Amino acid sequence: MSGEPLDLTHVKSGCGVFGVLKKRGAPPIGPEVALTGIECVRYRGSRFGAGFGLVRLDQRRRRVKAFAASKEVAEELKEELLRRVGNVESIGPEYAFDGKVYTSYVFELVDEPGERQLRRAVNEVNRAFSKPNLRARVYSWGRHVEVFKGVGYPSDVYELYSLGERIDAADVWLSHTRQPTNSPGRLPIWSHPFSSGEWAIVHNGDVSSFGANMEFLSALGVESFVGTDSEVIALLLDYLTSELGLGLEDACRALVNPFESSGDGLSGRLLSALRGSQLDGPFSIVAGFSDGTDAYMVVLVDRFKFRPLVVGEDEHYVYAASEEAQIRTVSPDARVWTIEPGGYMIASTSKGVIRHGRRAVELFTRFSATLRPPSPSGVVIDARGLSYPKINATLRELAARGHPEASLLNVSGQRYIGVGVDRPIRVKVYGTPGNCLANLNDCVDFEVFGSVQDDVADVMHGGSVVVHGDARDVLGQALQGGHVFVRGNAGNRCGIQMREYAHKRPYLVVGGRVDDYLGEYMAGGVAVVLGLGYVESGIVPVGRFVGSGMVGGRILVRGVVPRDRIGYLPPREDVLQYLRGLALDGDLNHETYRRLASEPHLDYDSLRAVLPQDLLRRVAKLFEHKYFRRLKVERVSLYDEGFADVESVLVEFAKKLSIEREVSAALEDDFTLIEPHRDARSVTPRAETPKEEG
Amino acid sequence: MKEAVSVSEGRAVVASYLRLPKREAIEFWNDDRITHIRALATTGKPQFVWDPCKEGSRRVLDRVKFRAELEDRGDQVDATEPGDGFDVSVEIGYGRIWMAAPLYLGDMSFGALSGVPNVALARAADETYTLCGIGEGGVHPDVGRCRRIFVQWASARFGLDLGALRLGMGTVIKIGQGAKPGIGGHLPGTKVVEVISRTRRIPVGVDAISPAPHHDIYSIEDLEQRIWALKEATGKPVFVKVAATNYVPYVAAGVARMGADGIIIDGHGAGTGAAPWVVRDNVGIPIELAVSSVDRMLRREGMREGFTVIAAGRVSSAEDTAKLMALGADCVSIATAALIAMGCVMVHKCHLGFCPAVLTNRIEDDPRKVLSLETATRWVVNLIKGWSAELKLILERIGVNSVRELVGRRDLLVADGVSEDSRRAMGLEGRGLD
Amino acid sequence: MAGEPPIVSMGSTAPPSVDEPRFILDRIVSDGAQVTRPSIDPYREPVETHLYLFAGSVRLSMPVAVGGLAELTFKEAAEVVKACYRMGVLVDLHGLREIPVEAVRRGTHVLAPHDAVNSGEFNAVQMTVRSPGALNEVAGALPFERKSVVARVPPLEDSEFYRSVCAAGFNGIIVDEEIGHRDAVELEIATSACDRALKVPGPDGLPLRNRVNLMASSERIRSSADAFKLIGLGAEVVVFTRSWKVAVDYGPGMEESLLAERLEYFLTGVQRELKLLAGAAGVSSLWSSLTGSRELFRSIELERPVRLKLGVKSAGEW
Repeated sequence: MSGEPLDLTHVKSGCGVFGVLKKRGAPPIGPEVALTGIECVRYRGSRFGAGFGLVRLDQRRRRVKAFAASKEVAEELKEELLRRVGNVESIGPEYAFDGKVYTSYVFELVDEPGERQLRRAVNEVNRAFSKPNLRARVYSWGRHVEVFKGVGYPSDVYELYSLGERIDAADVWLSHTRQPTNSPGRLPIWSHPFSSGEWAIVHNGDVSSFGANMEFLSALGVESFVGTDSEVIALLLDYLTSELGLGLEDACRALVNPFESSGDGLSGRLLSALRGSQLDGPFSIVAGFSDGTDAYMVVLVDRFKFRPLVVGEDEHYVYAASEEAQIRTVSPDARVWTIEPGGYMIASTSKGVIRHGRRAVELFTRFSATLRPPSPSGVVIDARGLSYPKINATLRELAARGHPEASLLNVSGQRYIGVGVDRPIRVKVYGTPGNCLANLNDCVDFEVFGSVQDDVADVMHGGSVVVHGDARDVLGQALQGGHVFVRGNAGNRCGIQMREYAHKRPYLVVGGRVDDYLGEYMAGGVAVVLGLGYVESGIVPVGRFVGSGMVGGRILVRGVVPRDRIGYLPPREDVLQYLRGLALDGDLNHETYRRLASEPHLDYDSLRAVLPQDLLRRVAKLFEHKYFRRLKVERVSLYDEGFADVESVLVEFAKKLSIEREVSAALEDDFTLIEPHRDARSVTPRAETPKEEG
Repeated sequence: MKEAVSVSEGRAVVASYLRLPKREAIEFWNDDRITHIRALATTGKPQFVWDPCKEGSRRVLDRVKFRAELEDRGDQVDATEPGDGFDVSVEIGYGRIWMAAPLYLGDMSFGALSGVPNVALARAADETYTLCGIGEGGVHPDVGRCRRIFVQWASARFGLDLGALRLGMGTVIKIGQGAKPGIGGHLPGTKVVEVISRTRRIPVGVDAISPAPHHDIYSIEDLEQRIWALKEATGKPVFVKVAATNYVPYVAAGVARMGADGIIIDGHGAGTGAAPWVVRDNVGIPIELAVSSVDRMLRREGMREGFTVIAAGRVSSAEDTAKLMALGADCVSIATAALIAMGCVMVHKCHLGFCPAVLTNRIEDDPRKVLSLETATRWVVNLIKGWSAELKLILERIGVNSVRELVGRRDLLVADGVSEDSRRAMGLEGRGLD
Repeated sequence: MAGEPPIVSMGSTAPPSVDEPRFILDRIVSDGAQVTRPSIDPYREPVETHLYLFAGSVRLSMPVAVGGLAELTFKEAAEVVKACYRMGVLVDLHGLREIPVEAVRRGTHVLAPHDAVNSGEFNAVQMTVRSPGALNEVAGALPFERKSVVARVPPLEDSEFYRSVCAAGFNGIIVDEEIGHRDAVELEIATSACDRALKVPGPDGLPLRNRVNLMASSERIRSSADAFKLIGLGAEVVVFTRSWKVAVDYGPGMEESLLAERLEYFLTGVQRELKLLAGAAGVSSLWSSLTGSRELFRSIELERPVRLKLGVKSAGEW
C-alpha cells in the first residue's frame, strides 16, 4: 500500500535572471554571454518562456516589434502605426513561422516620431488589438533597447532568433528563463524581458501591489495590460522616468519603496504624488535602460529581500544574476556581493558601478581556501553533470559501506546535496552547491570550498557544515543541533527559528556580516556574528530586525549593535507622535520630549529610562502586544562566565577555517549579547494569554 | 449514550456525547448537521440519501444540487443499505495509495487537539483504509505507530527529522489553511509542557511560533525545491496544502508543475484551533468556488492526470463529498465533522483550553479528564462507514458506478438560485435564475 | 487583552455563507498570499499603515479617522481629539459648532468644519457639498487662504461630479453616507466611483487621484475589515463615526480619561487588524499597495452589475 519507488529522473526546478553590462573600454559583449549566463540555471526555468534584451548606444531607427497572430494582422498593425506615427517600414517576420500562435514582426519607423507620440501610439494599438481576443501585441519599441523573446528554454529562443548571427555585441544584455506563476505559459507575450520605451526588464517575483500599480498606470493613460506584474514594472519605470521626468534614483526609490524606518524612502510629498507606483511583495529585477547617451543596468530588490539576487564585477563587466554560479560561469574570479533588502544597484557603461545596492560597500574577499583549496581526499567523485539523486545515492552508499570521507569535485548548482544521507560521512564539496545543502542533516560533516546558496542546514539536527566562502539567505533555519560555520558573509534570515532540545544545542557562526532578521523567532542555540574585517572598519556586521520575535537562545555580535537594529520596533514617527501628544497635554515636560525626540533610536528601553511609570504604561501599547517579549541587550566579553561553550566553539571555528589569529583577536573585543528577558514579558502585569494553536 | 463518565486510574474518562447547548448565533454546523453526524458515528449506518440540512443554508454548495435529486421521487427518509457493486474506493496521486473511501481526515495537530483525538483519528484511518493528516505539531508517539498518516512539513518544522518524515505514507507541505490564510501560529510557553516539548522538540516553557510563511518558500520555484528535497529525503509522495484564495487555480497549476503529487485546498469557513477573528471571517474563498476552477485549470494545462485534488472546508456530508467531487475533486478532507463525531459541540472556544468535550482542552502531562480512546476511535470509524454508505446511496441514485468516475461530472449538477458569476466559477449550468 | 485582535476558534459563521449579508462589504473577501508570494507576520516584521494627507504635509499613523463627535460633550470631544492626536489619527469634527481649544494646537490631525466659530485657526477644514448643483456656490465660498479644504459629499456615482469637485480646488473628498441625496448609492459604490473617476491624468500629468485625498464615512462601518475593504475600493482614510463608541462603551457621563484610554486601545486594535489582513495578503504598505487595489479582493454572490461597478472579480474567476 505504500508508495512505489519515486521516479527521480524528473529533476527540474524554477525564474532565473541574468544581466551583464560592459564598462567603458571593455571588449564588447556578444549574445552568447547572455545565453551562457542563463543556461547554467536552466533548472530555474521551464519550457514556458525565455528571452533576451539588449541596450546599445549606436544610433539607428526606432524599431517597433510585435507578436501578431497572422501576416494579415501584422499588416493591419502596420496600418494602425502608419496612421499614428508616420512612415513605417515593414521588416517582416523575425523568424520563420514556428508553428506557434504568434510570430514576431518588426517595423522600422522612418519618420522619427517623438517618444511621447510613440508611447501613446503603442498604447492605443495594444488596446485595439487586445479586444475581443489578443491578436497582436507590441512588446518592444525602443531606439536603444531591443527584446527577443519566445516560448521555450533560453537556448531555443536564442536559436529561434538566430541571435548569434544577428547581433554582434551590445552594451547591456539581459536574459531570462521563466517559471510561470500567475499566467499560463504558452504564449510568447508572457515571456521576459518586458519593455517600454528605453527600458527592458527581467523579473523574478510576484508583486502584491499589482492591482495598485495597474490603477496608477491606468490613471496615466495606459489602457491595456497583458496581465503580468513584470509588464507593469517595465511600464512604471518608463512612465516615471519619461512621462513624469523622475531621475533614475528617484524612480528606483519609488518602486523599491524603502521602509520609512530606513530613512531612505521618498518624501511624503513625492509619495503622495506617486502613490500606486510602489512595488510590494517579492521581486528581484534586472533592468537595462538608456537615456540616449549612456547604457545602464539597474537592479532592484524588494525590502524583505524575498527573491535571490547577486551582483558581481570584474575588470570589464558588471553582472547580476539569480545565483552566484551564473556569474562564476562567465567570470570565475568576479567579486560577488548581494543587494541589501530594499536596495538598488545602478551601473552604467561610462561610469561603472554608481550605486552598489548596499550601504556599507562590501569587502570583497575570496578566501584562500576557496581559491586554493586543499586536495580532495577519501572517495573522489566528479560531480560535473551529475544530478543530485545520483550524488546522494552515491553518498548514501559510501556511508553505508563505512567510508569515512568523500570529495565532490566540480559541484555547480546541484541542490539537496546530502539530503537523506543518514549515516556519518565527511563530505568535501568543491565548487558552488545549489540550494538546500545539508537539509535535515543529522550526522554528516560537510566542508565547502566555495560559497553556498540559500537554505543551507534547514532542520539540521547534528553533524556540521563548514563553508569557506559566503552563504546566502535563510542559513540554518530551524537548526537544532550541530555546527554551521561560514567564513564569509551570509544573507537575510540567518538562524531563524533556531532551537535547542534535550541535550542538543546548535551553534551558528558567521565570520563576516549578515543581513536582516538574524535569529528571527529564535528559540534556542547560539548564533554568533564575528564581523571579521567589518567591525575593524566601524561597520556594524548585522542588518536590521535582529532577534525579532526571539523567545530563546542567544545572539552574539561582535562590537556594538545600535538598538534600532534589534527586534521590531513600532514606527519612530508613531512613538514621537504619542510623546508629542503627551507633551501638548502637559503630561510630559517639553524638555524630556525634546531630548527623546533627538535620540537616534526610540526603543523601549530608552523610554523606560526616562518616562515615569504611568506615562510608560500608556506609551507601552505601541510596543507591546500579546506576543511581545522584551529583549535583553548587553555588552559582554566572551571570557565572562557563561560563555565557555561559545568560546570553545569559536576556537573550533577558527581551527576549521584556519583563521586562528583573526578569531583570537576578535575574542578580545566586546560582544553585544541579545537574548529574551527571562521573566519580564512586559512592564504591565496582565492576565495569562490563552492557549493558541493552529 | 448510556455510559457517562467513568473513572480510571484517577482520571475521568469521557465516552459519551454532551447534550447540544442552545446556540443563539446562526451556525453552519447547526443542530441538524451535528445530529446527523452523531447518528452516523454511533450507528455506522446511512441516515439518508439527500442531505436535508442544506435547505435554507446560504452556502453556495448548498444551492448546488444533483439533477437526480430534483428528479428523485424516492423516499428520502427511508434510506436503506446500499447495494453491492458500488465502488467508493479511490487511488491517490503519485505512488498510488489506495483508499477505501475518498476521505482524508484533515490535518489537526497535536496541540490543537489534546492527544487522544489525534490518536483516534490516526487509528480510524488505519482501520478504514483512509488517510489521516497529522497536522504540524510533530508526531505523537501513538500516532506514529499508525500507518496511514501524512506527516506535515509546516513553517516551524516542529518535531521533524528524517525518521519522523519517513513514518508516514507521504508528507504534506502546509502553506496555508482555510480558516486563516497567511497567518502563523503561536503556542505560549506556559502551554509547552513536557509532552508537547518532546513531540515538537522544543524546550519546555518556551513559546512555539509558526511563522506566517515558510521562509524558504517565497515562490513557486522555492516550493519546488522543498517538494523535491522532501522526496529526496523520504522517497514518498508530497502533497501541498493551501488555502483557497484569489489565485488558487494558478497556485494549483504551479504546485502540479513543480512535481507535487497532490494539493489539499482548504476553503473559507474551515475549522481552526485559533485564528484572529477578523482574518477568519474575511479572507479566502469557499471551496466550491475554488475546486472547479482548479480542476479545469489543471486539465487545460494538461496536468490533471496522476495529480490528486483534495477539497476541504465545511465538508459536512456525503452529499457535499459527492458534489465537490463532481466539481473536480478526487477526495475530500473532513475535520470538523470528525471532531463532531468525537463529541464537539461547536462552542468556538478551543483556544481557551477548556473544551467541554475534552477534544481541544489544554494539554497537561497528567490530565484529570480524558476522552476514551476506544470510544473516540469507534465514533470516527463509524462516521466513515456511515458516510461511505451514504455516498454509495448517492452514487446509486445518480447512476455512477464509482467515485473515480464521479470526478469532474459537472453535468450531473445543477445550480439552483446561484449567481451567474458563481455558476461560471463552478462551470455549471443554471436553472432559470439570475 | 486590550488593543489586541480577538481570537476565535472553529469555522466562520460570518456572512455571506452562513450569516445574512447586510451590505456589499459582506460579500467581499480579501486575498491570502499563497506560494507565489509570502504572507507577512505583522507582529515581527514591518507592515506599514501610515500615510500622508494633503500633498505630504500631514502624516497619519493609520488610514482611520474618528468622527461622529457631535453628540459628545465639549469635554469629551476634547479628550477624543487629544487621544486621536497621540495615536496619530485624524479626527473629523463634522457637526461641531464650536471646536475645543485643544484641537487648535493639534490642528494637523483635525478636520474642522469651515463654519465653526473658531475654524479660522485650522490648516485643514471641510465644507459640505450637499449636491452637484450646490458645488459652484460652495466652491465660491472656498477659503482659499487655507492650505487644505475637504469637500464632504453625498455618496454618488457621478464621475463628473467628483472631477468637478477637484477642479473647484478641493484637496480632499469625504464621501459621507449620512448625507442624503435622491441619487445616493451605497458607500462602496460611491467610493469606488470617486476613486475611478479621478484615475485620469491631471493638469501636471500625474493622476488627478493623487492630487486629492479620498475618505469614506458612514455610521455602518463596523470594523477594521470594513475599513480594509473600503480602502481596497479606493478610500485612503475610513471614518469610524459610530463603531468606536460601541467599542469604548460610550455613554453619557462617561469618565473622559476612560474614554480616551479605551479609544486608544480601540485604535491600536484596529491598526493591528489592518496589519493582519494586509500581512495575510502579502502587503507591507497599506497606503501604496492596498488603496484602490481591487485585484486583492473577490466577491461572493454579489450581483454582477454591482460587482462590475466596483471592479472586483468574482471568487473563483481567473
